[in-house]
Amino acid sequence: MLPASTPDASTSQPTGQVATVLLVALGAISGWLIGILQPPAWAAALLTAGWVIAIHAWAQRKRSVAGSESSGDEAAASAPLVEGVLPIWRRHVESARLHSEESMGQLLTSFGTISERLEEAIRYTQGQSIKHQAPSVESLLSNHDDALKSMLAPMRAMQSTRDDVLARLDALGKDMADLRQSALQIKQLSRRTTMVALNASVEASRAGEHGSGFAVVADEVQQLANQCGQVAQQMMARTATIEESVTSSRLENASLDRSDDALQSQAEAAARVVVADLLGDLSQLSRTSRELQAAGTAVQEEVERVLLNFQSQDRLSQMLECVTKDMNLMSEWLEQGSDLGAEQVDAWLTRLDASYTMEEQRSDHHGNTAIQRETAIEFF
Amino acid sequence: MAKTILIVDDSGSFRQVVKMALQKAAYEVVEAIDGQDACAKLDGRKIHLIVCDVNMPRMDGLTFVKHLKTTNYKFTPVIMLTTESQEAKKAEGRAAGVRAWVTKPFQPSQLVDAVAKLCAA
Repeated sequence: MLPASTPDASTSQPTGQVATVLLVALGAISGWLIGILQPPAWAAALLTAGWVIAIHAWAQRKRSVAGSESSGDEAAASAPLVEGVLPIWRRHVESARLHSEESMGQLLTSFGTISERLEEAIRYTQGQSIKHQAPSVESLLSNHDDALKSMLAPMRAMQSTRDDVLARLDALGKDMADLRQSALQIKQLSRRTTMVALNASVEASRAGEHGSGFAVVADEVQQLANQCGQVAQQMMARTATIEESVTSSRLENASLDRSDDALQSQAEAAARVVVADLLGDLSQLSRTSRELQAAGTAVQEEVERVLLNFQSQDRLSQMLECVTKDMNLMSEWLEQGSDLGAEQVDAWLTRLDASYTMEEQRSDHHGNTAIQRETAIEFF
Repeated sequence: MAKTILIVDDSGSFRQVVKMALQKAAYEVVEAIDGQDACAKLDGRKIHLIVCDVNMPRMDGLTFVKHLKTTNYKFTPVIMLTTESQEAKKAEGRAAGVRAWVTKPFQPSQLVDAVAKLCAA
């Protein structure tokens, strides 16, 4: 209790002592009168009971008066203090409410930005993973077979050109063989012509002088046949050389063709390895992307839960606002110096109860257990 | 074309929570800090639905809804989103033409479902 009430209590104490002494004195006088007057027993008992009742009633009144005087003095003494402190409490509560609301607003904005960024990242990774959803590297290779073929297309074109050259060399070889055959036939014709010219010379010598002219012709024919034979021989030799070169070229080309096939197979295998590695890396990237996406989704859900919990700020703000308003009313009431009887207390508490909007406030007001309420939407 | 939702709440943090939930669901959002501000925002623009608090300064939510019924927006569905849980207030809201009553705190997904349901109706 406040120290201010102590002097009042001490001043009321002497009055009480005087009254007690007076009562004791009156009791003693009564006893002395009973002893002198010798009244009947019922009258003495009645007088004694009357005194006991009077003393008890006096004692009760004394306690009541002392109590009311004490509480009235305390209230009167504490009123200025409450008047001074209450507005300060109200300002503190209001300030705390505004600060927390401002901070929560900033936090919400930050979390909102984080949530938006996460959503963008998840959307992006979803887009990426869709591109690489093939189940295996083999199927990816199969999917990219066209790309591999186009990679090897120039090599295939070069091989095709070489095949054409080879075919032409084959044809050239056949032509050379025909040409050699023709040269052989010319040589045979030349040999036969030589024989004919020789016979003609023999017959010209038999004819004597009359065959001298014919012998010249036969000689000329033989020379021509010899020249034809030489030319045919040269043609055959030249044709044989060319044919040999063509054959050699064909063999070389055939060898190159086999090398090209091997080279192409090697290139294709190497390309498949490279592409397989590349697609393997992409698959790994896709898996990582999916994991990131899952992690991002989990974080986003967590952020949403945080945002849900931020709603408590509004509830807190309303609770504090309600207390602040009531403090304000209390402050005004104290300034007016109004009397507060039991009826006014009840009216005050009823009004306060009616000002609540939340079940939690009502529970707190009545000291009940807090209600755990599920979120629900009522459609009308 | 995205549907436009008007959010009326004096709590900035709460408006932010509702705004985020609705924008994520591809709605466009217009904000008002109380009933009076909301009246000013009803300037002829197309509003598909209104999400409104009850206890607000200057003009409370139920007064705003009653005023709404006297304007060109009288057929715009209204969801009350509030800490207010008194049956008397809900009855007042129902009589004023409110279509749904959501008590805070709420699950954003539930609000989005309710908005989608009333916008489609």
